[in-house]
Amino acid sequence: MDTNKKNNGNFVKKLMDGGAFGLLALYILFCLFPILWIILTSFKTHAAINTFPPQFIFIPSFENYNTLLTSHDFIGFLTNSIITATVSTALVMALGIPAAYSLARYGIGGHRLSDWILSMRMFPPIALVVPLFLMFRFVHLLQTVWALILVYTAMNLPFAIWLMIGFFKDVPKDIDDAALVDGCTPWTALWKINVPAVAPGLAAAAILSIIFAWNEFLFAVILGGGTAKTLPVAVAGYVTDRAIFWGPMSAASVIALVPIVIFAMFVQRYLVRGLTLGAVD
Amino acid sequence: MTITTGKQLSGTGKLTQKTRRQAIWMVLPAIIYLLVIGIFPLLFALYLIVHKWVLSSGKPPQFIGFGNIIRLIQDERFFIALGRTVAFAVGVVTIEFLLGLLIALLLLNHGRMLLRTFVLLPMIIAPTVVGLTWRFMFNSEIGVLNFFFDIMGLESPLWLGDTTIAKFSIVLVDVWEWTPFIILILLAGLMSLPPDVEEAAHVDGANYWQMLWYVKLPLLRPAIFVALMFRAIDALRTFDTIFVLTAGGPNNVTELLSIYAYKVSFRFFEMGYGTVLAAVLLIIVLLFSRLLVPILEKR
Repeated sequence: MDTNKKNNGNFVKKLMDGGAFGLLALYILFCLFPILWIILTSFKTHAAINTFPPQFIFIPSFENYNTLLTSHDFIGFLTNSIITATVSTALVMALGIPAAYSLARYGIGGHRLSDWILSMRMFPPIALVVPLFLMFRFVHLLQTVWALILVYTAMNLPFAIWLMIGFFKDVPKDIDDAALVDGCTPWTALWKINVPAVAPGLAAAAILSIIFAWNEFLFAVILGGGTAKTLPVAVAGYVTDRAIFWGPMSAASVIALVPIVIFAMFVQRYLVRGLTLGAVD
Repeated sequence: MTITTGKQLSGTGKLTQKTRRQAIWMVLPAIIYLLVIGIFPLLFALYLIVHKWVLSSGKPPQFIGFGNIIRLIQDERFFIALGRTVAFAVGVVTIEFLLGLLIALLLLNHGRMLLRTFVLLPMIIAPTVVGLTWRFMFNSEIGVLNFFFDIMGLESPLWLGDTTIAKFSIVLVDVWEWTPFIILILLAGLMSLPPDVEEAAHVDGANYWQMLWYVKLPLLRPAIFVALMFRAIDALRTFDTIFVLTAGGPNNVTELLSIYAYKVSFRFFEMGYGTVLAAVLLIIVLLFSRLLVPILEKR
């Protein structure tokens, strides 16, 4: 009877394992299907997209990519996206690295400052977009990539500083103290000792900053638009109340998501830390 | 912790005055930058709140004192949008937490690194891409979801056209997009639990569920709190995904507060009143984030 019970237990365990695996597989399918579907759609012709029932097996066509990549406008949007994401991230790092190091090591401003930086991360973009719109209108920077670069820098700086404070705190303080005693200034201690020590973390902060800027929509549509359209705005522009172009929309979406997915692979290890501002490691 | 560091250094003598000055110079550019682009707009928002300024009318801003606030408390559409936003946030955070916990536990036992990579995809791709992809799948004529319903012999719902179903459709999309966030946090929390706790519970004869309920979940509480707070704040702020998905329609039933504020500001060009609406959202979010700040600073 004892062995019988044990066998039963094994069977139940196997059943539960099978069920668990089935559930997991179902969830993964749920996660992946929309992404796979938009990728598939991007390789369909206009006619193939607009048939019902939808086709799962078809001859791939590069029609949509051809349309986009030979379009002067679209190349412009892609360039805008690349410029805003990289230049704003460069600014974030230039301003953020010294600030984070100083806050982590010398406690300038104490808790109040880091507290404030943190709250800035929580601002709803909609609360800033009207004043920023009017400010940039006043200085004639609307519909320029500069408006977006300036705003994305401000958007990503608080989170990047916060994240990098954590990384700098991981460096043993003794090393810094010794360097200072040996006549290093904080600047040289930062560049020669600390930055090399936490380089992977800083790279992760930069990549996250690129991802956030690349994906951003609200500021892009209000402050950019027109000649400063970025990819998310362009993607949204293919589907309006007046006209819907699923083909170019899906191809533009794929072009927008490929670099992000690749970047995310690199920063996977830091993603949780980055998204929770270091609360969870 | 940071404060003691500063004190220790200033105790070591002459060197430190100079060090301290340099340290201030390191942080100053960032602070000034954030003041100009982050804080100045907020002060400007205070100006806007007490003015009527309809950009399309060409008239200059007109001081109206509490006029916008009075309009706010009489604005039924605002209260509906506010209630809807809170209901949306509560709904999505609850579903995402339960589903996220389930999947995190499954991934802990069966997870391969590759699966984890798949799982995080929905939350890192652009919200506009998410919104439009789902809009395409929801499409009533060529949508793939209707095809699945047809196969199963079910009548396909009007995902975004029906005033009741549309509310659930936006929840579904948010659940798809953000459950990964909960999964990643809880998975990280679960993996960092000390193994000896589990072993001790095993020796005491606890089964899987008892272990989960009495041992793991209590230990996981800080991670759960952080996950829920971040999600609640982001759910209240939601804009991009829902905006491209429904723009608040049909018949305004998916109009969240952020979307209403957007429409007032950039469709009706009412800068003052739009700012008041956004300020309500800002205040709610900041109150929430006050709860989170001490936890984040403890690390």
